[in-house]
Amino acid sequence: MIYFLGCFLFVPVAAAEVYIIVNTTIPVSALSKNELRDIYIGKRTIWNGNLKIVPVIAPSLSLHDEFVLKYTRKSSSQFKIWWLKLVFSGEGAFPKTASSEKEMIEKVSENEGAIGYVSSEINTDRVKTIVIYDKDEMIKTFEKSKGTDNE
Amino acid sequence: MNRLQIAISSFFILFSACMASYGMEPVSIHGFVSQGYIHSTGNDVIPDSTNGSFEMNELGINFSTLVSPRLRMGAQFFARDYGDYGNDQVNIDWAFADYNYKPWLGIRAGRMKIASGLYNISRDLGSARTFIMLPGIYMESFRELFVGIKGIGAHGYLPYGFSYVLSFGVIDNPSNFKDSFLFATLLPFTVKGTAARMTGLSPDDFTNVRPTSVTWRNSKNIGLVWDTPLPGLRLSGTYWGGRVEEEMVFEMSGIPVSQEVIFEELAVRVVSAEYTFSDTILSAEYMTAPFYAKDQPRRKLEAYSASLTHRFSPLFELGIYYSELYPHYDDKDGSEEREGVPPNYYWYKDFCYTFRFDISYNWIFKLEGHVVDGLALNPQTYYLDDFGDVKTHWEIYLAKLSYNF
Repeated sequence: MIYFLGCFLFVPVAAAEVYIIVNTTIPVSALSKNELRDIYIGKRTIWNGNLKIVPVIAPSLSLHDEFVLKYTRKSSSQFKIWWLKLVFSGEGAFPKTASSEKEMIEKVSENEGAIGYVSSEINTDRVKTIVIYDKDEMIKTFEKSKGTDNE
Repeated sequence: MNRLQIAISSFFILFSACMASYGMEPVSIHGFVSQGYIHSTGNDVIPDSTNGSFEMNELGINFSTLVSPRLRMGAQFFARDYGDYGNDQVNIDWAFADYNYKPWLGIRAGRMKIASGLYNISRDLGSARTFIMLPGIYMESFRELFVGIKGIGAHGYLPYGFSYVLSFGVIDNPSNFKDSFLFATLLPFTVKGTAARMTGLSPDDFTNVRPTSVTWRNSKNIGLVWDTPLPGLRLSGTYWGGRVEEEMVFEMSGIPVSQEVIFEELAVRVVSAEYTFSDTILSAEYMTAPFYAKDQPRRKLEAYSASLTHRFSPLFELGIYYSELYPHYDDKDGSEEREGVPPNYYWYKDFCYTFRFDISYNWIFKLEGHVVDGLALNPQTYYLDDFGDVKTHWEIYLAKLSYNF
């Protein structure tokens, strides 16, 4: 009984690969980790060119836990609470939700300005996979290679 | 719900239908409802809570839409019952237009939530926190003051992790300040005590002390948050307040008297720190609330709290906090008895423990206990005929079920 309760209350999390997809109307092929974070915590709401950002989430997927932890530095419960605070104080609108990866791809392809995440790379006429880079890591690598060149 | 509120709701629903039919952004509708149960030992928190009470619920629904990519409009209706307060009357909680010019500058106009500490803007939404009752710095008895500010404001995100919110206008209460604990109960105590000292009469010679009007002027709300370079560490400072003019009437030995009380400043200042590490959140907050009436000595409330929460699984979270609240920072043991109540009314020390269960994405159930020392600002104990008939050490137990969509 105690073992059963323990399994119920303390659940381990498995890791998975996360790919970021956007609607092809979005004129970007790469975003920094900070830019992606700003989008998913409601700080940034507009793409360059006055196009509204439409973030899509799939809270029922284990991929969601991986995504929010990796890119927003929040657990899925902290992510949910963050958005509840924004929505019920009038400071933001809740992201669109999908219940499966298939629905996530559909919602990203149907909505101009939409962005979402999936477990494998996808490129169609309505959806494209973009690169997410770590700006700080790039600067570090650049400075390191510069140092090596000087030697 | 009055005619204006029904008209606004109807407008949003019709507006939504029209926008959807033109392929534009539909209106988003979100809501929450919660029902609580409270049981206390020794003293009442709300009427008859020593025998258990269900008079503790909240209900909110909001409508919002993007009129253009940069312009958002919305409104939230809110009703609550908390013993003698609220009584399920529906009011406008917030209603404003928000124009996002740039990430660093957004402009708002309307009725906005007040930023005070880390949790005030979401204080009515139990799903957004671990605890049922917030620590002393949020002064539940003075909730009417924390509700909203009506006017204009600006907000935005600045470089280096800073964000800000500014609002100017009037602190606004959709029900009535005259019925609030501060203006209808606590201040009459102070007025009676002050009048008795000035006239040499007994406080009991002053009867039927009550406010006839309460007016806020020059109110402002300032909030600054810094997401520090240390991942998970967030610091914030908030201020809100203004000038208050209160008209009071009372009878002095049977003779009617009218008195205007002017608070040159009535404000709340909070500094907060919150550190999130994986599924653990540590936070600490310090609040001072200066208030001084014209020709009266300057006074200040003081409160501080520290909390720790940890989520063990998607289902289960545990939280504890400790908080202290003092109505007079310079008389923490109540030895001066400034308000004519016994010394144990001059502090409120609260140890709280909460078990939160996220039954599903939308349903949340919480169990909570409080070990309390003191009675400061606990409304029910100010209504007693005999102030000796209270318990200094007491407990509060709560259960609450919430749903949001």
